[in-house]
Order: sequence, then C-alpha cells, then structure tokens
Amino acid sequence: MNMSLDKAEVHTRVLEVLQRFLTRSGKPASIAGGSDVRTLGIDSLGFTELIFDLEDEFHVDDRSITDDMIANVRTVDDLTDMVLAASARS
Amino acid sequence: MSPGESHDVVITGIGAASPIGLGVDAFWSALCSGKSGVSTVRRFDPSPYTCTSAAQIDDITKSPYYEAGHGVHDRVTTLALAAAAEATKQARIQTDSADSHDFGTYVGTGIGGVETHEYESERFRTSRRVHPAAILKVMCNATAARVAALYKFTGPSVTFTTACASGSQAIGEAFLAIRRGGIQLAIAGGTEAPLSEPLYAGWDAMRVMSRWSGEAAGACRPFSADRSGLVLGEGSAFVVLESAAHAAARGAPVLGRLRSYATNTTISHPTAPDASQEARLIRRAIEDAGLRPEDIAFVSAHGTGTLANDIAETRALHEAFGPHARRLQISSGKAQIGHTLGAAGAFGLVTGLLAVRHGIAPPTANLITPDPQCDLDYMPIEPRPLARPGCALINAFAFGGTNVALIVEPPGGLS
Repeated sequence: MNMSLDKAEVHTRVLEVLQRFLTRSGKPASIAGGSDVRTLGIDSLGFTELIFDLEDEFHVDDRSITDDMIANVRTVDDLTDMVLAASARS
Repeated sequence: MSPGESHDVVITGIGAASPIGLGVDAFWSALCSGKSGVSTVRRFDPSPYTCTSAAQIDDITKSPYYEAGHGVHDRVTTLALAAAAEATKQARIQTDSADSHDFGTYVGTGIGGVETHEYESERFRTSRRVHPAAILKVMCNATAARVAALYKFTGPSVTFTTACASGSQAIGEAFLAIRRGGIQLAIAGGTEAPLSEPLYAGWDAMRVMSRWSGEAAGACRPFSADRSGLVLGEGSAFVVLESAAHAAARGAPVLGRLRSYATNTTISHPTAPDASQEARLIRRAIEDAGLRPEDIAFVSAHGTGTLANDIAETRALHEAFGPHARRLQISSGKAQIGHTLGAAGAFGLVTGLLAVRHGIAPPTANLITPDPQCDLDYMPIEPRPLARPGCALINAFAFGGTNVALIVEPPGGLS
C-alpha cells in the first residue's frame, strides 16, 4: 500500500511516463493535464502498454487498475486520479 | 498477368544488415576482404560455455537504412527493418501503389523474438508480470506483419520457420507465387537475432559449437582440416522479387534473375545431413530451371564448419555435378558472419547474386588447411574472379531436415 503519494508529484510523473511512451511510439505530442488521451493516437493495445508503464512507475499491483477505471479515463488528469485510486487499493 | 502462365522473376532490390557491414556495399566489401564479424560474445558472459564467440552487430542504429520511430520491436524485427528498407529503396518501391494487393511479404526466421522472450521470462520470474506487447514481439510472424504494414503490402504476408533454411524458403516461396502469377512483387528474406543466453546454452549443449581456442575471428573454419564447429551470428538480408514484366513496366532496376527454387526433406535424422538427398535437391533445382550443371559457376555453400555438414555438402556437390564439381568456385560466408540461422539463406542469395553480377567469388575465410575430404575449390582466404560467367547456386540445409536450393542468374543472362 502506498498512501503517501502526493497528487502533484503523481501528476508530474504521469506526464513523464506518457511523454516517454509517446516518443517511443513515434507519436510525440505536447501534453497537459487537460489533454484528451484519446486524441493522442494511442490505440487500444497502446493503451494497455501505457497502463503497464504506469503500473511499473508507481509499483501498483496490476489487479488494482480495473477495466472500469481504464474505461473512464479521458484526460491526463484522469490518469493521475486512476493511479491515485489504484495506489490506494494496492 | 493471368494465373497459369509462368513468369520470369527478377531481383530489383537487395538489402543486408550483417556483423561485417550494414548495407549491401559494406557487406560485400567486407566479405571479399575476409573481414571477420566474429568476436567474443558481448551480450552476456560466455565463459561457462564451450564456445565463447559469436558474430554480432554492435549498433544497428548506425545502419544508413535504420529509421527510428517505427515503434518498439524485438531485435529480430529491428534488424529486418534495416535490411528491408535498403532493398525497397533500391527497388524504388512506391508504398502507396494502387496494386499493393498484388505485393507480398515473405519472411524467414528460425526462432522469432527470443530476446524479448528471455527478457519477459525473467520479468515474469521476478514480478509475475509480462508486458502487454510481449506476444506481439515474440511471435514468429511479427517481422512479416511489421514489414507488410510499413510498406503497405496487402497481399500475402507469410512467415517460414524451417530453421536454417527459413530465409531461403521464404525467398523460394515468394518466387513460386510470382512465377505462378499469384502476385506481382514481394519483399522476401530472412532475419535472426539468436544471441539470447538460454538459447546459446542450448546450442552449446548440442556440442556443435566451435571449440576453437585461438582468436575469436578464427572460430568458424568451414571445409578446414582444423574445423572446430559452428559459430552463431545475427543479421538480416532481404530482396525484392517481381515479375520481369512488372519490373519493366515501372522501370525498376534489374539486378539479376531468380531461376530456380527446390526444396525437399531429410527424414533419416533431425540433425544429420543426407548427402544423397542434398544432391537430389541440387539436381532438381538445376533441371527445374532448364539449366545444365555447367551453367553453375559459383556456389554459396551452406558451409557451417561442422564435420557432418562439410563432408556431406562436398559429397552432394560431387554427386549432383559430376566432373563439373571440380570447376565450381564455392565459398561459405559463415566463417565471417557466423551461422545466422533463419537469415543464412537470404545472405547466401545476396552473396550469390553479387558474385555473378561482379564476376567475383568471395573467399572462405580461415580456410588455411583444407580438409582432404573436402576436395573442391572452396576458395581459401582470397577472392578470385569467376573463371567463367554463370549462375550461382545457394544451399541451405536445416536442422529438422528441410533442404532448400536457389539458383540466381546475372542480369545479362548466361551469354
């Protein structure tokens, strides 16, 4: 369990993970908290890879991020909230 | 083009990413100079193993044909993308061509994405997690899928996994598809990145790997009395094949003509070669092309540097060619690039094509003391001009028994 995660720090690291993912995928983009992740050219497979990277970054158990949580993600801020919620469940 | 006709198949592009050179020019120059790509294994500590050498590509990103931004792949696909890019560039492929449904992708790989398999297996052991892209990187058809998507080829995308004959088989099957009129053009070749430690340990356990104790560059010694076994190598080679009519219609450069593909199977043993079956294969390839044995000037030998292969291949050449066998100029590039397994036959075709195009037979490096049982002209140490114009025969004999022979003719024909 990791209850000490600071939201601002999580947000910064989520942006970094996303930026690295986009660069690696050949789709670099300028992103911010309100960016719609569905418009960044990430397909469904790519999204599973991004979730995997976030699980690695935050040491979140992969069963803590549910399909419902993923389905509700629209923006980068949603990703941050998803990580915080999953972290609380881990 | 209508099915039922037989169509001439020409080669309009070639590409190579090898341990002795990135790009065909670098590969050919190094091959003829005898340069060795074999060195002490750097990917892991090889000291526990009998063989400590391999032919490695230091940095594929230094290839003039390497392009970043095509996503993340296993090394086996990364190497292939560099070789395929060179071949398609030379062939001046238009990737948005309207007839790309008649364009096929034919790839040979013996083992697919083994580096990813090793990495993800280790991750699984330590964390019980596996990356979601792992399957798509490991699967043997990952390379064909990526090449087809990159060049927008919507015809057949096929992968051949017949061990050391995979690359030859992929090229041969593409040849048949074009000759029969099923497709007009194909990117075809082989790729392998086998230097994963568990796999290396498996090869070592088979006791077929080099026991050479001298400098690493001398570890693979095909047709030598002091041969010591095979050395693994990594790399990729591709060709663009198309019907002669299609190439002429679009003004593509014709580098040579693929004349024949024959394949058969040795069933007596999974690893032991059968000289008679190999000879039958070679005769079939020559006859199918409507050629005579005398039309073959050069042989790119399978030439692994194992006792069983060297002796059997020599016997097969004697049996297939009769007296003409002694006039053949024969060499094995495996002394320099190692055994690239699924890519080996594709490198063989590139070598055979360049030999008959340039009229030069590359050497067999490290062949200082010929094995008396290998009593043919195996081109020791130095390249020599071809004694006469002719075709090249490319041999590939695989574990599991698959045998493949290809024959390539220079662009101006045999006259």
